[in-house]
Amino acid sequence: MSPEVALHRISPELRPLLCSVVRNGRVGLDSTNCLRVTDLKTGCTSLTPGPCCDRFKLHIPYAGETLKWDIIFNARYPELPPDFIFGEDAEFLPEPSELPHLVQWDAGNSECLLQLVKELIQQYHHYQCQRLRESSRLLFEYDSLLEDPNYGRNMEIYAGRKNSWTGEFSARFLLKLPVDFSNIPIYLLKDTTLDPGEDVALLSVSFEDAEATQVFPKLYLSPSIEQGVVEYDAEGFTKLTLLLMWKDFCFLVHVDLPLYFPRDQPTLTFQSVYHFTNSGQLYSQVQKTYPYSPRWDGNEMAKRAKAYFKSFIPQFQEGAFANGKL
Amino acid sequence: MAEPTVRMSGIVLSSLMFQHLNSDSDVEGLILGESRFEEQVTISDTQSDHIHIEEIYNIQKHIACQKLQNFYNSVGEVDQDAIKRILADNKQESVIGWYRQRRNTDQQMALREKIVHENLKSVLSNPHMIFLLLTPSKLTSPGSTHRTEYAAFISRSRQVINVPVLVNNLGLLEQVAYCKVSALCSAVGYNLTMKKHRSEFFSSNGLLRDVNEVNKMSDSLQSELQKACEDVEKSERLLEALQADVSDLRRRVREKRQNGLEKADADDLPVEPKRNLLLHDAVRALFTCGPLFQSQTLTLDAFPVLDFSHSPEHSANTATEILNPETQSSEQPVSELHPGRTVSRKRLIEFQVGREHKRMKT
Repeated sequence: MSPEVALHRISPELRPLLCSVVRNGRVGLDSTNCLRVTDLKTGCTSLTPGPCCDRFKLHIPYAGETLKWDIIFNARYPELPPDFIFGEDAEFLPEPSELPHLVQWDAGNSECLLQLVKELIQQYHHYQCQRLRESSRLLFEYDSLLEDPNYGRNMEIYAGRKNSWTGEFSARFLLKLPVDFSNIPIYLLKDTTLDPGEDVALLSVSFEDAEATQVFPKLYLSPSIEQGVVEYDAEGFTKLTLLLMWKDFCFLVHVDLPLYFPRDQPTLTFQSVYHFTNSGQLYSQVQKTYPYSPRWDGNEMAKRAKAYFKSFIPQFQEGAFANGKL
Repeated sequence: MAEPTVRMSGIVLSSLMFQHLNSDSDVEGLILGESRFEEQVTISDTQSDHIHIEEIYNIQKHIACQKLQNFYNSVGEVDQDAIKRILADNKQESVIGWYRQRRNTDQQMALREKIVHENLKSVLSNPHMIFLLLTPSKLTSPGSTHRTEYAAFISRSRQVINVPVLVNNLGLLEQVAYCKVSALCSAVGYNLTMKKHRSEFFSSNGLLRDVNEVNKMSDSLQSELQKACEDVEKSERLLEALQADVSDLRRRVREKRQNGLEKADADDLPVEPKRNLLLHDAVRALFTCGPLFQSQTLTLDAFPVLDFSHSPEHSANTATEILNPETQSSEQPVSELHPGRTVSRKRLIEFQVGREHKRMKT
């Protein structure tokens, strides 16, 4: 259901509240996904003329899952705060005092519902973290990440249900990677009406059992980042190809991580998008001896690599023009 | 553990549904009735006594709130004064729960409903309260058919439990079709009428009068049955004894016949005549010296003829003189006793003296 359809069908008195949710509804780490509204229904009799919908399902992206919460208003009492049904999480019972926008519900404030939903998600996060106590190993992983200032505030936890057959308990951690995207070049959007949102790189780590013996990582990049990344190895994460631009000169950089990375230095291959060699291949230069230290962390390596690009690109460009054919 | 059940009459259910049908929003209110705990003891041959506790909530009445959120606020805090105003003349003790009806929603308690329920329990000091939820919805898209689902919930240790709702006389009959306890009614007029006419139907012990008479009749029948059983037992025992006697007699007869046949089979020769030794001794003592006894000559009429050739010395041995046909005279001797009779000699069977004979005992 598109936001416009939802706004058209909702009761007029409730429209402002819903408008904030569907237009500005980016919650959680994955701000690329908006809140979605489906199953619009009414609490009025079927003879009541529309639009009079006052209850719907809200889809909320959280820790790689999609929560489906029922939000129940009353069109005849638009000033009253909504009630919530939390789908399968019937045991989730947030403390009302921790929901300021419920305590001081203001139907005249169009942001009130969105803020209340954010507070509920925060309470839901606490509830899921509490459930991690069922597994000491997973709790340890969580506590370790919590102590790290890079991840402590940028985590979403989903503790799965126990398998009634095997008794196994699973969990998923969604982490926002502390990456500097300020130098991502400008790119063209396919859909100009769609706001790509904040640049973000998320790492999803799924633990299939309570002892964390089966771990499955997945990397999520926001559309703007994906636009800059031509391709990457989504399984082993050992290869990455970036399309970069320096002073109107576009070029590709292939980063290959060796088997014994970080002990061994990654290989950087610069490739022009304009020039060919005599054999018909794109003009490229391989660099293996740039400044590098295995003791740097990931961010430091990226920063140093970026600095190296800046210093090397001018001579690469000269080489491409000199030795390559357009 | 107690198994809760919610019961209500069809009248109450239809009244609730009627209220919501005539409202253009969700509705809610209080439920009045009675809750009781019944302990049932099941006695079985296969296992020890099983105690089963039934928790029954009887919904008798509902009071609708004029508007939503009438007795609680946005965070579910309950206002006791508001409850009293809603109850009006009804007693607070008769409140056993509250209800809500909301269209087109799931049959699940919502967040604020759970909070209100907990707060209502503590405000009314009643840990056993129910929440009745009715959720009407359209079954067909044109709206020709609507469906109302209803369920009751109780909370235990902050866990919400779905409780079955039984509507009296609606649905399948229970296994035990007889109602063990009469339906409760709080109407004053009903209670007055019952009090007035009760003595005509019930005896002092609370049972129907007819029941007492039937019980007496049952006791009489029991005693008659007992007598008949005793008579039957006696006759059966007698019969048993007679049959035993008959069997014994038959067995004896069978054995006798068996023995008789065995004796006949054993001797192919003529049966050895029984010997009366006492008689033999007596005859010998009396007649061995008599000439007639010694005579071996008989008339044709079997009378002995005196024969003086035999001396008394020979009388001790009852020797057998076999008549030799060659020496037999052609003239038939004539009996002296009966001269008209002809004497014939008989052949005496050799008498074996001293042989013991077994007397067959029967």
